[in-house]
Amino acid sequence: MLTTMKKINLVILIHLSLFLTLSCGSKKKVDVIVESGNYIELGDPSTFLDAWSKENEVVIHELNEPDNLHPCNGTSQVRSEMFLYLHGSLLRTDLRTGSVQPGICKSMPQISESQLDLIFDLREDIKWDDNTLISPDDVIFTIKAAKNPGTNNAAFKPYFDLVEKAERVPNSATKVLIRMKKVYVQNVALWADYPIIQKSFYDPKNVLDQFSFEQFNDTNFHADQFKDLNEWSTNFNSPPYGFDSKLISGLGPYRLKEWQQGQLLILEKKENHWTDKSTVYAEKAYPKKLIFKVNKDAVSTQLSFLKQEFDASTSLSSRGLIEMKSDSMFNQNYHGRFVDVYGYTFIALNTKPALSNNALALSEVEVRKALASLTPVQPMIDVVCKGVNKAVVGPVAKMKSSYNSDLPLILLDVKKANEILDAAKWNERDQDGVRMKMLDGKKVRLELELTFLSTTPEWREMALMIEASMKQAGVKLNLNMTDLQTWLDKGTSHHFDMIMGSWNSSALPEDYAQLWATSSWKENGLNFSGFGNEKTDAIIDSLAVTMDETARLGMEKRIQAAIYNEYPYVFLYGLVRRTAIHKRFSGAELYGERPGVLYNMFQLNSIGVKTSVTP
Amino acid sequence: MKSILIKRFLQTLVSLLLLVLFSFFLSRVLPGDPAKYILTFNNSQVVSSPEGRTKSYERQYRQMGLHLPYFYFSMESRLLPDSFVHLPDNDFKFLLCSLSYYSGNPSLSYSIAKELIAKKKTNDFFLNFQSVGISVAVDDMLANNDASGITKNLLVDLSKLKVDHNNHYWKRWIPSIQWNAKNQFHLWCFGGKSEGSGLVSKGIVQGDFGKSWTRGGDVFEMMKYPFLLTLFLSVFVLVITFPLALLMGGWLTLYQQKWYAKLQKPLLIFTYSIPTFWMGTALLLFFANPRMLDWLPTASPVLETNNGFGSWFFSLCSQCEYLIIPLFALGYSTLIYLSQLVFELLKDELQKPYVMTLRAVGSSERKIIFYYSMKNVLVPLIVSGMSVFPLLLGGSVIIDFLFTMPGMGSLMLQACDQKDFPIISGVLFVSGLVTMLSFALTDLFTYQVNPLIRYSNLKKNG
Repeated sequence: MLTTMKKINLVILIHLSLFLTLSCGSKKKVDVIVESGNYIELGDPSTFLDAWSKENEVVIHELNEPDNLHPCNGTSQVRSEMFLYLHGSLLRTDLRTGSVQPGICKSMPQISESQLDLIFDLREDIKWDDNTLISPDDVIFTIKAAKNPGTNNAAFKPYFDLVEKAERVPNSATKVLIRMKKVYVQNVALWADYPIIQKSFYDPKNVLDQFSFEQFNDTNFHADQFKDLNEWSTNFNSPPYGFDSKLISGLGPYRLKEWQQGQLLILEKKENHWTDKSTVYAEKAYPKKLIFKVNKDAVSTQLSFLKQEFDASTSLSSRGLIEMKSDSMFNQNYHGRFVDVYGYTFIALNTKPALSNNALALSEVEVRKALASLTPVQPMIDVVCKGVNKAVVGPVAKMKSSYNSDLPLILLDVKKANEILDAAKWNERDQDGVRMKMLDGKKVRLELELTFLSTTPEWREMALMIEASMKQAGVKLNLNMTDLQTWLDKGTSHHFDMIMGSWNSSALPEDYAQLWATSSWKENGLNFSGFGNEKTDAIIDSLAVTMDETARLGMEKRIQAAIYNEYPYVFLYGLVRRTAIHKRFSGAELYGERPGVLYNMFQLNSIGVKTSVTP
Repeated sequence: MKSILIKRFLQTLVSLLLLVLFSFFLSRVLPGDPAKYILTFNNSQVVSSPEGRTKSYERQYRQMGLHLPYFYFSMESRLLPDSFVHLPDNDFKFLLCSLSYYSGNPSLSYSIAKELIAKKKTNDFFLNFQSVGISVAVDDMLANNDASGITKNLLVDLSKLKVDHNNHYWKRWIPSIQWNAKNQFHLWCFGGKSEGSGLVSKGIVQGDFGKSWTRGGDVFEMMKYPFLLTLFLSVFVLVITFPLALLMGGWLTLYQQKWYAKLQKPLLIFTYSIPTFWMGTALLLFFANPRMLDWLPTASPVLETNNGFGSWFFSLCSQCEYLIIPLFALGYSTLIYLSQLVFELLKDELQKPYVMTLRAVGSSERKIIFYYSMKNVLVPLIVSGMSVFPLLLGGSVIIDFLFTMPGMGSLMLQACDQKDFPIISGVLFVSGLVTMLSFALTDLFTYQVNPLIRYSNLKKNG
């Protein structure tokens, strides 16, 4: 489910490093690298240097620690990444293929004809830490805990609002039925990577058994009127369940050993765990410890890598990795790679600009088209991104089957832009050479504001390049650098002319509703630009309930074409993840899908001491 | 002495009150909506249905207590309903405010705004009245009722609204002050149960800073060790720089006529002008770089925070090599400032008659400076030194960021980034409190050691 959230939501890239998916670097080949389809496999180097540590622990660089490790109540991205090692889920996102695969189930769920009932058959080899087998009651409890109005998981509640009920399948010790309230294309994928928790551990007094799904579905149900439930909720919401290693329990091969807040977090491999016998690659757990260390400063991070104090990172700054890749000391010890991910940068244009008087011009599709031709995408990639990123034409990544390859790239063409603007009667110019036109009885200058984030200098560099390019066609651009919160507020309240940023997505099927449905614009959601009409809304609505892949593909291509032709966005370039992995480990794979790397698969290099630690 | 203490205590109390207000309101003026931030930037706002998103937002909003007004009283136009400050939906508030100001009829405006919101007509209406004004927007809606699909009742209400507009428009200028017994400030100061989440806090009066919005943890617990680390670094810097400043200042005074002493001033001013961030980075690149001098570690020590103060302090001391660069980066400017101060004070001191007497009786210049005159510069030096203390606390933000130190600076930066008001308020309050206490202690110290102040006070008291 967590991965689905990533997909549905298109989470904004917050951290400066995430923006710095800009990148570049040398094209030198590393020792053994196999690029197979959606992922890259890093092989063994030819030697194991004396200076390399033989500790079977992976020290991972992180920019942020998780908000908590509570199974229900946290929201941070790092937390959900750590849950891959701490917990098990009904389904999991297969990072190699970008598809949903069975997790703690024997197979994908049986789906009823109505598409509302999902029957999951649990594996019989999966045990909790107290050696008891997982049961349907644990799944039911997990859903109840999440639906309980007293649980502080506002961010997750909308998911569970889609669930009608969960119950045991009669005459089966392993099957659980989950009934959804409505047909929705994500009904199955919702269960990917959402942690299943142990009923006897979190609810030893069976408090939640006293309450039904009907009660939790009832909006008039007041949880605080029930003493037992209130007490259970207060206890369950309390910080120890998110921080105390004794109160964090899951099905995953690792347990929380130590957490020094703001500094490091250590996950330790469990002894004799059920995953030891697993044949699923993602369930393997080779390192004895995964040590996540926080370091936000680029300089000290870089020095730490030179000193081999870190084994891995997926959150380096692009410039940091570029610099490191030019250092022989780094190259001797690390694989440094830029990996394409499912995300892109963009400039949203306010197509319904009544709230922003400057942008009246942007309601004209010709003006938006001209602006797209005036945006120096490739020069920006070459100069700011050092040539690593690739230009994109739409919101869907090229790696996806739903990508519409018929749409050509929009290239920088000042002459064409001038022609378009002339044809749209933006002929008149003021003394500064800025184009003007009469609109609604008022003389409007083609003067726009470009809002962008202050998180990294690269945004500003790009904004300056765009400003210079626009000037050539008589478009005046005023630059407005803002913090993330203001950026979001401006976007959602539609108080902007042009707003530059980036979105992240995932390998799973796109849900276009958040960014492109008119309802998302009306409700101040993430449809910043105001794109959409009844026709596109109908396609988006159909996509949400169409299960047939072929039919979906056609619709997805149509919606991409509609976006392309309306120019609500100027699409810039695809994002890349910046990874560094120490060569003392083999078996590492780099994925386009988040989190990009599975650290549990790292094996001490065979020339080192790998054989002694294989589970 | 007693009267001085009481006076100082009362002054501190007033400052404390102002500090509490300042800490609270400063944290609240950060731009943006924290509930929206948490839902948008953290794996959430997940569903494609706007209803789900709105519900989720409202839950989060209430859970954080943002539906409560900020303070005990709020001043709004008389035309806004009493419940205005409690409304969670900003769009609804905006719409209601516009309609009420337009018509002078708050109750009718409330029902119309509610219906427009329910029918998702809000944005259409906004668009219209932003560009053509509310009067025309209402006319448009009345004229295009078929297209807009609004109910007959709503049309009747809108017509009434138009009539009211001419009669009650002036009322918007009459303010009304509302008393809010339950408000965010009260909850923060005196504790209580948050309506949405059921979180119980005892309030800062009982040392409970509430729960972090993003982590759910106890703010006091979260601040404990970061505060100790920052305090430790700041105090340590002062303890080290004081004797060093005395030595440097004395030495500069002693050799002030020599060429190397004359050269020191521009050199020190140059060093003083180097920003802490730059100095820290330069030190890292020079002393913790395998390509240069790989003498010192790069990042911060890993401090043990789970087993009490003893193990925390032990882990800090046992990894003292990690503190060398941060301490230097934090303290170099203080050292230069204080040594220059000592130099200037000693120069003045050397002009005094007792120095001439000492010279006449054959005391050496070294003895005069380091023994006789140095005593007299101690008091102003300590007073100035204590005023540097708040700067050190502030400087720790940069040091924490640069060296990934788990201090108050890191905590504050993260909290600001995540709009975690309880932590921001807590950090501001504690930093302010420490600063106030340091000033109060300095005053008492000055009173105690400076006979002139003591004497003048005794004289005043008769």
